[in-house]
Amino acid sequence: MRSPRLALFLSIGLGLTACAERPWHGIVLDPATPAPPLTAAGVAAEPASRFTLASARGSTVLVYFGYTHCPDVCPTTLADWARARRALGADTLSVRWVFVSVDPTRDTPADAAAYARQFHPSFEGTALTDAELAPVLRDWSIAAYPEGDPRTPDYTVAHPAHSFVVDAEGRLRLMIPPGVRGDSIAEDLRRLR
Amino acid sequence: MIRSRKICAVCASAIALACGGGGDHPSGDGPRVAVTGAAAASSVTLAVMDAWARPADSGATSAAYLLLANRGTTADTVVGVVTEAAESATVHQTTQHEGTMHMSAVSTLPIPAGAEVSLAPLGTHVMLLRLRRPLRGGDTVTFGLLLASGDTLRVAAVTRAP
Repeated sequence: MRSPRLALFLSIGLGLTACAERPWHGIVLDPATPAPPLTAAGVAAEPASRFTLASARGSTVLVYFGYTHCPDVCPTTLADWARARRALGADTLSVRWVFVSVDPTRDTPADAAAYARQFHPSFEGTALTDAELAPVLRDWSIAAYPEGDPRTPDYTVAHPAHSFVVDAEGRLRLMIPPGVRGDSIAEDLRRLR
Repeated sequence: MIRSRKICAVCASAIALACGGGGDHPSGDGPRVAVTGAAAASSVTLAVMDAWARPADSGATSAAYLLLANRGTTADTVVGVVTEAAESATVHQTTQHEGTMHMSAVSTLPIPAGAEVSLAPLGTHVMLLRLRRPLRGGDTVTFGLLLASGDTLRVAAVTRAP
């Protein structure tokens, strides 16, 4: 599995310059490789909180790893997602927007789902358990960990900056940096298809 | 209770307090932050603009953003936040390092004379922890920025979808 970080640097030299028409707003992972596995079992009483990337084949999937107590970058990103969702309009049926909490101490799948829905009712949210988190961090070559004292209620969580875009064939195609506006995200998603 | 002695807080929404005190300096232990006018020749004159906050549920975390403009001739520094709207409030900064986002507390935020300091998404912000009431679109949340000069700059931020 190619490291997203390695792909990031390669794409600067290859992916972006290979684009003849106009630059992508996200970082192109070229060549695209199968997305790492991502499974959040959720809870039995909440089937909607279960998410498996493998079962999303056929849809473009945006994945963001954050936490619901995140005051700045997570809401900024999900608000940009919401703008992208609105900009896509009728094109959105084959796109899934999935917020994945990497704060198993505080977030339940229901918390994450409710948080995501605040930004758009179609957004999905789930939370990884402690046991689920470690392999996801390893497979996706990402970092997420508490900063500050996790025994207090006010610790923060370091988490990946980028949104990941997996195409309908299950390939990791783009990393969208924080701060990319919704209409630009929509432009990239249209172009993927 | 937000302490608001003599300040010049100009919020874009016109909700924040206007200049207090008319430029006069009380004697004794009066505030050193001055307002506009001839009496304020060597003063700090801080203005708050474009203050807004993110919607959030009661008990959740919100963030507020604003532009601080020091139109005076003396620097000042934000050294803390006070509010009744949340159980805790601090100035925080978001940073990105090797693809990972981090947040850290900002203990001192200098506002140099003649400078503007922006608190904006993906950068410096006022973090409001464990809100005492929900913030919905259109609600105003107030907090005070504690200044090294001893004064408190009152901010009224309007809640809106980012």
